[in-house]
Amino acid sequence: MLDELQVLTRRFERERRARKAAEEIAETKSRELYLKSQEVQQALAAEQQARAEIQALLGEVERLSVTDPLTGLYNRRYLDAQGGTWVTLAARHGHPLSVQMIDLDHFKRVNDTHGHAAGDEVLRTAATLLKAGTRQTDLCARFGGEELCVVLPNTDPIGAVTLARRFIAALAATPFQISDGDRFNVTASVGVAGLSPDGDSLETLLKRADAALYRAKEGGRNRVVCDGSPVFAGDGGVGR
Amino acid sequence: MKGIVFTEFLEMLEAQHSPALVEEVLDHVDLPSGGVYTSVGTYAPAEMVALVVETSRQTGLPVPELLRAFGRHLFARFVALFPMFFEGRTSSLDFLPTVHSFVHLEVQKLYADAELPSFDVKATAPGHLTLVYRSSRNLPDLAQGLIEGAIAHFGDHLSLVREAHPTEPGAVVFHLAPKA
Repeated sequence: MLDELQVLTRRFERERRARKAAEEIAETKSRELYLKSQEVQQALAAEQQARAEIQALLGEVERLSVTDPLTGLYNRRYLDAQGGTWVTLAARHGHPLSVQMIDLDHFKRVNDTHGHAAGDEVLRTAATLLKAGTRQTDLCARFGGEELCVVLPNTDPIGAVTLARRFIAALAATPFQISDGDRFNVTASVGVAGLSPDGDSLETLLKRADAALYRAKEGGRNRVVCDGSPVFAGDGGVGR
Repeated sequence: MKGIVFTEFLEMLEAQHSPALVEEVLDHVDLPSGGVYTSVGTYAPAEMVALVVETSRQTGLPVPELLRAFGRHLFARFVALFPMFFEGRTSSLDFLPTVHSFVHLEVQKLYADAELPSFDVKATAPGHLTLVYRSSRNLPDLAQGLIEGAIAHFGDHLSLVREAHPTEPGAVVFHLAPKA
C-alpha cells in the first residue's frame, strides 16, 4: 500500500511527463499546420496558373472562331475563307457576285467625343441594320475596326448598290443617344464592286470595292460609289 | 484511442474513489505508455481495456457497469469541455443525431487519425429515436452510458432500450422512446 506522499509524488511525475508529451504534440501539430499552409499556397498558385492558361485558351478559341464578338457578324477569317470560295465558284460558273466595303464616317470622332462605349454601340447598331437589310444568302462580316464587308452572291452591282443605299439611309436616320444626353447621328460610306467577266479573286474584288469606297469618302461621305461607275449619293442624287 | 478517454477515466477514478486506487490500478497493469496520458495524444485501445478490467477487479464493479458509469461521467465532461457542440440543443432527440453528422466530423478535422464510432440515427416517429452503434472498439456499454448521460443532461423523459443488431454482428441498436 502506498502512502499519501508516494501517491502524490507518482501522480505529479506522471502529470509532468504528460505535460511534456502534450508540448511535443503541440509542436508537431504546428509543424503540420505550417506544411499544410505551404500546400495551400502551392494549390493557390497552381490555380492562378490554370486560370491564366484558360484565359489564353479562351483567347485562342475566340481567334479561331468565326464570329466577331462585338457585332456578332462573321469575322475576317471567315470572310476570307468562305467569301473566297464563293468568288471562285461564281467565277467558274459565270454567276454574278458583288461585294460592299462599308466604312463608318468620322468614327474616330465618335469615339473621341462620346467614348468607346458609344463607339461600340454604333458598331453594333450598324451591324444589326446591315443584317436586317441583307438576305440570308449574303455574308456580312466585320472587316476591321470600323469597316464592314458584305459578299452578295447571285447579285449584280446594281442590286448591291440598291441595298447599300438603303443601308446608309437607315443608318443616317438612326439617332444615337448616350447616357449624359448627347444625341448624334452617324453616316457610312460604301464602295461596291462586281465580279469581272475577266476573272477575279476575293482579294482583287475587295481591292476594287476599296478604291470605290475611297472615292465615296473623297466625294463627301454618306454615299455609295460603284467601281467603274458614277457616284450614287445616299440622298438619291447622282454625281462624280 | 484519443488520450481524452484515458485522462477522463483516471480523473473519474480519482474523484469517485481515490488517488490511491489510480496508483493501484496502474501498478497492476502493463502499460506501454506507463500510465502517462495527455488528452491530445493517441494510445493503444488495449491499454483502455486493461485499465477497465483491472479497475473492475479492484472495485468489484462489473465491467459493463463500470463502462456505463464512465459513459455517463464522460458525457457531462463533454458538455463542460466542448460547449459549442451543445449550443441550441434542447433534448437528446435533438442532440444525438448531431454526434455523427457534426460532432465527429469536427473532431476529425483536428484529429484525422481518430477512430470514432458511428451512430446511424433514424427518427422513427415523433419523440422516438433509433441509433445503430458501430465501432471497431466495440464498447456498447460506454455508448449506453453516454446516451444515458445525454438523457440526464437534457432532463428528457425518455426510456432507453438496447438490443443486438438483428443481422449485423457487433452492431448494437438503441431505441429512445417517451417514458410510459
